[in-house]
Amino acid sequence: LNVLDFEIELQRIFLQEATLLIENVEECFLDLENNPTNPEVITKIFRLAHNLKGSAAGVGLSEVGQFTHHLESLLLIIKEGKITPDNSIVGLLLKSTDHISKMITQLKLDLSATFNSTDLIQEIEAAIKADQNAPSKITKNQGSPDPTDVQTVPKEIPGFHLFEEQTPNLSITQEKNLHDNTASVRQNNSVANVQQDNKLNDPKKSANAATSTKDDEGIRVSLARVQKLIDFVGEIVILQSALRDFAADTKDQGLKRVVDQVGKVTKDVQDISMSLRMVPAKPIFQKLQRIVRDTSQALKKDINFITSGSETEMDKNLLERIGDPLVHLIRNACDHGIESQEDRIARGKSPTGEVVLNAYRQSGKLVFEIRDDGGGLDPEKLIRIAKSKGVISQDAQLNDKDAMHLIFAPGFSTAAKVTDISGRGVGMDVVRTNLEEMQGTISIESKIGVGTTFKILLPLTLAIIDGMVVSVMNEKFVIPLSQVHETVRLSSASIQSTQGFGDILLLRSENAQLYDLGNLLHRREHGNFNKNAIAIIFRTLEQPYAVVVDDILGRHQVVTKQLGEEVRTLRGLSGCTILGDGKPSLILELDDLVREATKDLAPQNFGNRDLKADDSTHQQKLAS
Amino acid sequence: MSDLKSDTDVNGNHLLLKKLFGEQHADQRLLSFSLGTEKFALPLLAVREVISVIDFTPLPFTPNYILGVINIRGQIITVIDLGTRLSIIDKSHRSEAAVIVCESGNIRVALMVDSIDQVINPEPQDIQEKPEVESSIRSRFVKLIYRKDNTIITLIDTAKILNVDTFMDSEINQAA
Repeated sequence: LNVLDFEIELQRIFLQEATLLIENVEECFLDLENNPTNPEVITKIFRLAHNLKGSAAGVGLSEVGQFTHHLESLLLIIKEGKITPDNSIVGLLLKSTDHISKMITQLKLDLSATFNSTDLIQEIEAAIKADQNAPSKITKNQGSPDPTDVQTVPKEIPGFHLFEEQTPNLSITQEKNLHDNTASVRQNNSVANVQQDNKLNDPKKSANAATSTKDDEGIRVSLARVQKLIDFVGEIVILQSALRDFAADTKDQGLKRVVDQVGKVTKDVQDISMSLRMVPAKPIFQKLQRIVRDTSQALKKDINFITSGSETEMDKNLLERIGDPLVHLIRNACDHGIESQEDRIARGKSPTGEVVLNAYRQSGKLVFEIRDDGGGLDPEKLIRIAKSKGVISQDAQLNDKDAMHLIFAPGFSTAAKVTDISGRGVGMDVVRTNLEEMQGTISIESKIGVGTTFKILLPLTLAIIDGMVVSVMNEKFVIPLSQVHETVRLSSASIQSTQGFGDILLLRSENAQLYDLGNLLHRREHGNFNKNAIAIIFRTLEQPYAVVVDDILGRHQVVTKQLGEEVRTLRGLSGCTILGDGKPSLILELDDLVREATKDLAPQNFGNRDLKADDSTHQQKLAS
Repeated sequence: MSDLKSDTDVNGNHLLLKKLFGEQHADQRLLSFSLGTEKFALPLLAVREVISVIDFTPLPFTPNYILGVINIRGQIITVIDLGTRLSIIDKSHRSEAAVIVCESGNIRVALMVDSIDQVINPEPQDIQEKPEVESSIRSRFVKLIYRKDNTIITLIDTAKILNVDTFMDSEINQAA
């Protein structure tokens, strides 16, 4: 390693560390705004800035060093109490942080990048001078913030306890769902969400967090390595279950015991390795905090952003992908949801609007709730706009629920004019598509004049699912357990065969269209199933439907794997997994298969449809 | 005069080799295998491994040459029956069947062949453009042939076989 390489390496390390420092600093600034007199917070910020300045200069990144130096001067007079960090000062601090993180991002790409910091430095200098001219300001703003001041007043800052040692805790939502297998995977290292965030209001705790920074003993590992580990653990799990099958026939008690123990250890190793991908939702919460602050100031609205559940853990992949949808929803809540102050006062509401973000786990799902106490959605207005924009036809009849979902239609926007914040009509349909890609759903509840709540349901992870393993004609398939509503043995069920509509399974109070999985997969003619077969009932489409399988072989947590890119577009499959025998097994998306089959049900194709899988594509092409 | 001509030929053949292996690749060896009574080859560089035929899981709604998926050390790999893909009807030589795992770009696919033959290190003059009269069914996947003495080996274009856009397009088989 020559000296130059060594220097570059040092700079790279610095840039990585700087990114973390910046995140911490930003968090502290927002805290400072609510808590302008807390010396612990100011000291921490000062220390972080000082570290940043020192290390930047140390590795030869002088521009970052110089800029931070100016910032440090400003922080120094805040620390000495010569200036109170009011709204505008915090704004300046945040702007400076943005500038530093911009520099760092650019330097990561190109170590020789240069920057123009003159304007911002002048602003900082001006703030320092302005204060020296008006030293009386110190006492004026102390105590509780002026309620008429137009500013964001977040009641709590999520995740200020980043480095705080936590005793492992079960969260309430999980305890309620003991039958839920996926949740149990991560029970040990999850924390009680609600109490967690309340602690933040306690200044002593915050101070504690600020001083315990040094206790953090985490190491950073690349995601690729974690993924490799998970893949190999997956292999061990498969081998272990093969071992268990072999040992089932043995009379050797010693061997049996060892195999059992290996099984338990394997399960633990799998749980831990899967949990490595799980990260708290906190970074998103921080980002949103900032967005609400900036948005509300730009809109001249007074908005109180209340969050809980920032410690809720989720798969790293999901975390990256949930960001954009949440930003859109929160911005919309601030812009379209919360009314102007005059309107709020006229309606007899508090002039301060409220936007609430909750994250929690429920029934093996991750839930995000975005609530505002704004004007609510007016279904009639939505329908009117949709008609005028040609989103729906002029004579369309929609119920209130469908009308509300119009906001997710492409090209739909209710804002009278396009603002910087939103109103271009691209946001909400992006929200919906992003969520669908993550196998998530979104629902709306809204009342005119009272407010709107969006509820997002997501799987905890895309990497493992609870699967029901079924067999059809000696092939094994996996059906995500979350989609299964119930199962019925055909021998004890009543089936009505109808002309033109196929078979109907009579449930207690309703009817379900009956499909045969072998037939859905084009493996056999409909109706050729064993009368002892089992029907699985799904309620994932508008109408309940039932799918017949030859047998249910069990219920397993399965590690999902993607099919090769060349066959990923196949309908009805959401992926693949490897079962205990080492063979791949397909994970079915029954809704897709049934939707497709309903299309095919037109009588003219039904008779001559080729049931062999290999010719189906060709047949369809000939028919068309 | 004749010297000059053969020189151009060799240069032309160098170009053909580049077509087959790309600009940089020093390794120009071929892995040859049989399908029916014919011989084929792939650039060895594209080959990840050769394994014996294992039980595969069929994929629904795929053309007949897609046999299904297999698990190779935790990775799910699609297997295609190369003989069927190339419209070779003779399936009586399958007792030594093997699976060649090969890749092109991001795609990794397993090709089932009747038997593995050998590794060939071709000289530039052994590689030729495919004659125009070649049966058109497989013309899409074949651009070059290897010819030495009386041996003719058809060189498979891996990029064409392992193309995401046309992978499941069985019409290629039916066309022409």
